[in-house]
Amino acid sequence: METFLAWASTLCISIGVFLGITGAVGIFRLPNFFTRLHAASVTDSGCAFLLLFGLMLQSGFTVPTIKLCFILVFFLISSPTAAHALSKTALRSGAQPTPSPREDR
Amino acid sequence: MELIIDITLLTFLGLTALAINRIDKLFCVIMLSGIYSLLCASLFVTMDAVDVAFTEAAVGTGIATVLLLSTIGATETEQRSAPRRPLFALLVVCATGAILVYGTMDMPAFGDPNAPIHQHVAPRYVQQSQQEVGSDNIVTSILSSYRGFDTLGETVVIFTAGLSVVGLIGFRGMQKFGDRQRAAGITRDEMEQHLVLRIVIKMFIPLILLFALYVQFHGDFGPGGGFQAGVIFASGFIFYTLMFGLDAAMRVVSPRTLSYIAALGVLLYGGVGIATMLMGGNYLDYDVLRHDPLHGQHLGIFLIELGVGTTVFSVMVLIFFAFSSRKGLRQ
Amino acid sequence: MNGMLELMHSVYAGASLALLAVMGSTLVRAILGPSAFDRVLAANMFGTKTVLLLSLLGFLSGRPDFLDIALVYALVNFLSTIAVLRFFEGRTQPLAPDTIPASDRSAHISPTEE
Repeated sequence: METFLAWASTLCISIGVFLGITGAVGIFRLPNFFTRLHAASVTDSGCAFLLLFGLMLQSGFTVPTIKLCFILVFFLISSPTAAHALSKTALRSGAQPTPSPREDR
Repeated sequence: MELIIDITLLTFLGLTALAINRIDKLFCVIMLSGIYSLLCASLFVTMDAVDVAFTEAAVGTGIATVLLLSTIGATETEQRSAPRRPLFALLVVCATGAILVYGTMDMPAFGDPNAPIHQHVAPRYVQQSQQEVGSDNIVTSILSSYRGFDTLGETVVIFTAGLSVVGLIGFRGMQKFGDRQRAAGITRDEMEQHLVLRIVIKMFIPLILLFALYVQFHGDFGPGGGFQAGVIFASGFIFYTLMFGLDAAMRVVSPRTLSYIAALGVLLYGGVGIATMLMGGNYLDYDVLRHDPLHGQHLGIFLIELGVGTTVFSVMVLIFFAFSSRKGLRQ
Repeated sequence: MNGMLELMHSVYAGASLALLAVMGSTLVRAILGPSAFDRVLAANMFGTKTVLLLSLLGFLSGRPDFLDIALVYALVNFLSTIAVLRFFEGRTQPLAPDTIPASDRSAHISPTEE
């Protein structure tokens, strides 16, 4: 059981880290604000969820698990809301969702 | 491993500080200073100073960012460039910095157990705080009991800051609510445009206030205490103000009520000291509060943390209301 | 059993380093980002990565107290993002022309539209 939990949380954390690095490369290289927003939300949802879930598997049925669960639920609700609010404000302030022609190579 | 994390975080800190210095647009500077505060808090965590990290995060990233945004909303958003290059000032600063660095070479190494700071009162706090004060968190026992005077001073300083802001800036939104709420508040249309945000925040605010109460009363056992709890409680109110408008928030709790609450917090703290004197001990000597010194310490710490929390909460919200009611932000 | 602890310890350490790299990339975007919204996005993402880093550091050093701080960080990060967006909404002056780069600006929505 211990071994299974250890390997399961290793898998979760590894995939989470991979998604995080993907998002980091994306936010660095993508051309437009809205595309970068998508890259950032990949990290906020995928990476955060898998990392926290992997940590929850490791800590058993104790109080830290409940706190991790709170953090997870908070992220699940607040990250999409922040992304929504950010994109709405950007759109209404004049940023354009489609990349300009010079980036289409 | 910790070394790599420390070096990386310090490098980020240096880069952020450099960027803050070079960038002219004040809005970006505020964003970067929020990041700076998060980095500082992470460094405090790696140094095992958990309470300090708590306070740094809550104040530096939350409240300070909000207040700075209110400020540049009322003033300009670009930094004015200096009229000439101040080379002489640069020389003076570099010379002073060099002298300070030379002075620190005489200090003991970081974390050296034989340093004088670790020899006198610190061993007594660490070894005897459990018997004398009875709380698991040594930081709380030092702040509230061993160094209670200092914390009283800090609370009075915060109260004075609130007093100064109210005296200097004042409030413009306290007059007639009736006919102004259409003109200056948030209209029905705007509220419907932010439906998602409104519902999510409405759901979160009670939980935030509950979490603040948890931090307040959990200060004996884990990181937390009055100051952090007051800041988080104020954050809940700031959330409400951001979403529903300043007039609605001032109807929930008016600045007059907040002023009374702030004064009440300081009065509670000082009053505990007077009560201990009336019961025969010294000022802020909690041992005499109950039949048993340990219970007396618990009661004393509970009461003064309550005082600190209420003062901090009301002063933070007061300052935010004062900054937000400036003319630049009223629509 | 001990091998499992060693494994988890190295997993936490590796994940912490990877998260530090992610935070570095975010910081670069916060410093460079041509528009104001890029910086707001980078600051928000930096906050959430800090929360994850702190949780990992807590497990790495064996102190579950850090999770309280992680929760507070998540909260204040959300608060500062929402405050920034309300700041944008509440401005009566138009945004400075270089806040949004020309490549991002839309043709038929003017910046002063509210």
